[in-house]
Amino acid sequence: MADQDVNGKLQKSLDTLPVQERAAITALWSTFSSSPHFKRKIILEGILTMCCFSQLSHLSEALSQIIRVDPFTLFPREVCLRVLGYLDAISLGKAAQVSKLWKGLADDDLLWRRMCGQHIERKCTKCGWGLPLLERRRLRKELNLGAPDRMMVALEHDDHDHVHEDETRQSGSPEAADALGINGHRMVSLPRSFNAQVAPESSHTGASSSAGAREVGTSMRQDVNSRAASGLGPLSLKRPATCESSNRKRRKVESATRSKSGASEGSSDSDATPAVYNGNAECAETDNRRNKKPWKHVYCERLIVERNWRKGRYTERTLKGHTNGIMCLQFHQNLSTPSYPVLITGSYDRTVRVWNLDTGEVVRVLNGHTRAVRALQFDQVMLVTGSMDRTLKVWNWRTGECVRTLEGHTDGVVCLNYNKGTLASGSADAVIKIWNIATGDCYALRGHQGWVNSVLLWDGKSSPSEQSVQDTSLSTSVQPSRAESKSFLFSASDDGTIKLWDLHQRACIKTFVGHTGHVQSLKLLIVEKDHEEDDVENTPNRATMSNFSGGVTSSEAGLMSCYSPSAEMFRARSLSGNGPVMQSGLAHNSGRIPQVPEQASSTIFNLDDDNKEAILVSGGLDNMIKIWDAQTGTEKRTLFGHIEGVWGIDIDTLRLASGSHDRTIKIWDRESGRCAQTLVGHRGAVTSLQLSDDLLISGSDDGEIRVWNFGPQIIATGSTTSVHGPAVPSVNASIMRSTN
Amino acid sequence: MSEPKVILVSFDDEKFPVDVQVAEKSVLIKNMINDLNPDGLQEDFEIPIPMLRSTVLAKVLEWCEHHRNSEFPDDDDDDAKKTAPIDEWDKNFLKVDQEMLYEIMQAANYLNIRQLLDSGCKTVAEMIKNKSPEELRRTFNIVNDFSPEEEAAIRRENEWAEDR
Repeated sequence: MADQDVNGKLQKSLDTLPVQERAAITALWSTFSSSPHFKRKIILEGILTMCCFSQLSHLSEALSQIIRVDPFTLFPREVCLRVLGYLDAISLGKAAQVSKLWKGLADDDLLWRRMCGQHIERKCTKCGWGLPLLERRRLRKELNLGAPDRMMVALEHDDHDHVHEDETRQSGSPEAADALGINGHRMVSLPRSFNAQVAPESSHTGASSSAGAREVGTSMRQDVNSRAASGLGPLSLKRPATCESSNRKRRKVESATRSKSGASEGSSDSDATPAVYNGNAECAETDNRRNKKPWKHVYCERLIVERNWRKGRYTERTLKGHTNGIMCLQFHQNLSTPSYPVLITGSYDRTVRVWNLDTGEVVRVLNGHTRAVRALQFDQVMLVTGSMDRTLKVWNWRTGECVRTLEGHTDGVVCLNYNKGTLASGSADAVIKIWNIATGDCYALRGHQGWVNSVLLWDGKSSPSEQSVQDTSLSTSVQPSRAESKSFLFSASDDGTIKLWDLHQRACIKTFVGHTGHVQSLKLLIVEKDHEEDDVENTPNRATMSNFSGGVTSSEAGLMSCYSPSAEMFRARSLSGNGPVMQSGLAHNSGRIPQVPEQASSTIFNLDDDNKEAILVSGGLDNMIKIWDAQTGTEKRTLFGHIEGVWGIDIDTLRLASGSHDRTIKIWDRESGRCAQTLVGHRGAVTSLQLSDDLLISGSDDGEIRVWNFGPQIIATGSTTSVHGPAVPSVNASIMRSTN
Repeated sequence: MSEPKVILVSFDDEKFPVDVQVAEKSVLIKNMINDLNPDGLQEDFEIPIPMLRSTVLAKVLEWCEHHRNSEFPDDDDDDAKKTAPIDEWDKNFLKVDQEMLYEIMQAANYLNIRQLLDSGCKTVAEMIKNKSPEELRRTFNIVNDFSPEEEAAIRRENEWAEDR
């Protein structure tokens, strides 16, 4: 407690006193200092009784200054970390600069690992912040290098991780610990043949095979567990207790895994929820030699990316090559091959171009369509394009070979979407066709009264945005067979409506009414339930709570109404606060459509996680973006801001982006409906765009593609980097509808 | 005869007779009582707590008394724990000088009273939150033991924390 200032002052005051008094005071002090603890206490208490209030006040003030102790010198490390565990990232960053002791604590890896678990790919329940997940790409690269052997290594190491379960539990979210727990069980419970089964899959396609393998693991494990539970078969190796606990864990993880993207598609692709996220972590940890990045760095990198998005800091690059307006685009940053990120664009110039996003160069030009290319989608293996020439083409985009041409529409093909072997296409002839890609067979869905501008296939469970990367053949072979797999399609049309179709019944089961202009684009996202609306669910840890909503649970409702879609059902539902019955197809379809009885809204989809919900986002030429509850068809929110029609939208867990005829791109906060950024630069209408964690790529009627990079390595704002290809002649925009 | 009491004896030999229910807020004491009295308490039971001075022990027991009927969630859900604000009563209860606060926390840690330790940790975390490194040093009387070079490097490393 020796303080230079204080001691100096004391010395001075002492010096002003006569010698005798100095001696008296010094004697007093020395008596005190030579006394043992209990005597000091007596002396002090005696002195205190002599003090007047002003002296006590002086003491009180001085004490508050003097009693300042570094808590971390007193506490054991685990208590120190417990304290720091309550801090936000910024405060931790500051704490690390205080002293060596503090740095050693505030940089603790487990602390940061938990911080990552709370924020990455989800919004932290405490601070409302979410960070992008960048690791996916990195991880894929890792896996590519080593697959399939590395996969095996990773699996074997899971046992090792299991040993550290306690540690994880301490540091990570409970799901994370559970995930590790399960993985720990994996090698114990699986027969050797599991490896054999994975190996050929893995050789298939580097990274996504890991997804496959995981999924196989899950389904195998289910198998094992169910056998064990029923006491059947040679597989029941485990003690009942273990079995039960692993069952419990499995359910938890599965729901966590599926909730965002997963169901049928491999789970590592979703990488979204903490459980899976920690799946990554565990892989990263397995391979310490190659990737030992402190979690703090992981967090900071993402924080910087997130700030770039928030503050509109980006580098911008323009890709030139098309000689007419761009109508559609898609990119993949994490294909196993080629090693570079791939962008494919379709244009009014009738060509499809494949770009290397690293260099900005055109790798291949696909010729074949005789009119504008309006829609495309690609994955590891194939590319499907739709054109105003009324055809769809299936390409091997790596070679440029057109594998198949699908004919059948009587007017231009405006949109398409495929998932596994099923392809949906929407046309200017107002008809939707559902194709079997392999055979070319198709059937039509009629009901829209104008161009069909967007189609979106959905299984009613997982997030469709995550499906596309998957290699088609792989995902079909690996997908665990589900007794009642459902199949839905959303479609958006010039008639101002969005329709939901049940593909098994081949009928429209809902119509979403609200747009007052042509609806151009649709996206679906699985999100945490919006809790503003259901007051019942106010608890902070809703993630771990099971279904506890006040009324009929979705599964119950589903069962009930399957058998009796009665009026009572509807009433029960609206009482239970599940939202109003949606404006149904009955009202708007004027009976021309093969009509099935309108289902109670909550019966349609079976999300794996009761705490999640599906939202549908639509953009229209009425300048509006609407967010719908996909289950009920209720409109949740409308985003206003574009001053002309909205052509393209994209959405991820953290943000929503829209491209408009007003030549701007807007980035929105989905939850608040606030426009966070407006990006300008395109000289024509923005027709199409796609988001990733750190990129936004937009295509415009001006024939240019712009790559807006919000990645961590940003130097200055808005610097246009490279320019490729021949200069583009000025394009007369506005005629979006010209059939060229 | 009334219910037997647990008598806790502090470092400075002060005796604190309390109800079993209150004393058992401490998992350590609870285990001790159960281990040494397998048939339940028949008479007053004295437990020396030599590492706590009487003022601290008095504070800790005040907390136990207040929370004698409080039900705390048992599971160790990290997210929930982190999100929950400090109990309002605890917050006022812990408005003490740093020395007392730390001693209470050490006592809670030693006696294994998780909820009290958590409230203490949150209180200290609140003291750390939103302060610059210099403010933190002042608050806790810490000497900056980094060399100028080290300090500069660490500042660079944590630059992201400067910019909200």
